[in-house]
Amino acid sequence: MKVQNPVLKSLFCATAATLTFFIITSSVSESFNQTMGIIIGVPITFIGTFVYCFLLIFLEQVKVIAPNFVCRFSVPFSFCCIASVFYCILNNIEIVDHFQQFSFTAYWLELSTPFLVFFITHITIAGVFTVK
Amino acid sequence: MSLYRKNLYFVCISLLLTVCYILYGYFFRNFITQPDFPKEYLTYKNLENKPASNHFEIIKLPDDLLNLSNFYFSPISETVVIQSNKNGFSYDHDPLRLYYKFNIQGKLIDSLIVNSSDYYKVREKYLISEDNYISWIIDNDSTRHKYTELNPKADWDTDRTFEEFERLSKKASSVYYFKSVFTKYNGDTEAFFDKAIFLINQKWYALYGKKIYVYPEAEEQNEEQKTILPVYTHKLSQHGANLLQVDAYYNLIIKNDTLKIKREVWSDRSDLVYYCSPANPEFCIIEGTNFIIKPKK
Repeated sequence: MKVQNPVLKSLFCATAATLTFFIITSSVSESFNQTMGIIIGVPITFIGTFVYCFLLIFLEQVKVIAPNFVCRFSVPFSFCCIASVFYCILNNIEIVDHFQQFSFTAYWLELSTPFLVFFITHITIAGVFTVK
Repeated sequence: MSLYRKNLYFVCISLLLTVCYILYGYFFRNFITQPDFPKEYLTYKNLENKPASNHFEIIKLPDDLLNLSNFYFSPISETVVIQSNKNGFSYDHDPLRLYYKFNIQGKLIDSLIVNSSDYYKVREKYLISEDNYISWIIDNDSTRHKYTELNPKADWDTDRTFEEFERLSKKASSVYYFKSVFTKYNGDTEAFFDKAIFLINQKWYALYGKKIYVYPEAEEQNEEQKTILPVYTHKLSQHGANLLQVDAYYNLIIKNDTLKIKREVWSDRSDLVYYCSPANPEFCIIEGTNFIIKPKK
């Protein structure tokens, strides 16, 4: 099950990611720094997503990821999770600064944002790649 | 080993490690030893949640872009003036300065715009610049009043200037100085004169003289400052070695009422500071916030 129309699909994913990024960041606040962040962030998101899509296709070609929806989603997703954990350990970043006396729900709320972002991006890209 | 199985192993191992890391973070760092939270403090409210007592309440001024480092109560009416940071991207490069006036109900009732280049200072609730002064904070009058100049041509000799300077300094309730604001040309040479202004009976007088400049004192703070200590603090979380985030609980007593306030702060010893209007001690503003205390309607 090879990915059909890889360029078109990558372009679609990149556009979708950029649009989402733009809508979320521009709705948060209107300060000058925010505006600069959007101006710099839009091309970075677009190129980043585009390159990432081609990396996935390349990894399928060299038989690292199996050509299947579940694998296309779960392998990069779990890789991002473990990579961010290692990044935090190596750079001595406490994901949450000694949050204490918090219920598990509150603790999870502190962590959930990057997880949800990873989850949604990867499941979308995997879905787009699998659709014929 | 097939490709699918390799993928499966990879996913299982990395997800397991991630989950372990999160659980480790929760179970092995998530404790502070302290007594249980006393139930009596459950009724305390954050400022945002509008704490109220029988006769008083705390409300927010309808503006989030105020310069909260200073505010000026009028001594004769129940109003407070706060500078706004609203114009432009950066407050520092703004050509205009905007002051807002709020009444005791927290309503915006008037505003004043001055040029930033005039460098208005506030002394005794007057806005003063080199050329003129405005008594808007006190009586809502936005006319630029000229100073009553005693020697408009700066033609007094040194002794007379000094005598007059001494006499006025004793009489005045506030004195401010401007450096080298007046230049006199005498052929090829030029002489610089400083300007001293004196507040006597609600009028400002100006005196020119050589070398009378004194570096002015910092802007006076509001007079009616009140400080309260927290009655109880409860630790929330620890950030780094000894930085604690705590909930502090305050009893703000005003007249015979107690306002019960809760605040998230970074130290066990965070005071709550508030200032009351000289015209009505029931009208107060909490330092560093845009929350005011006012009698209920």
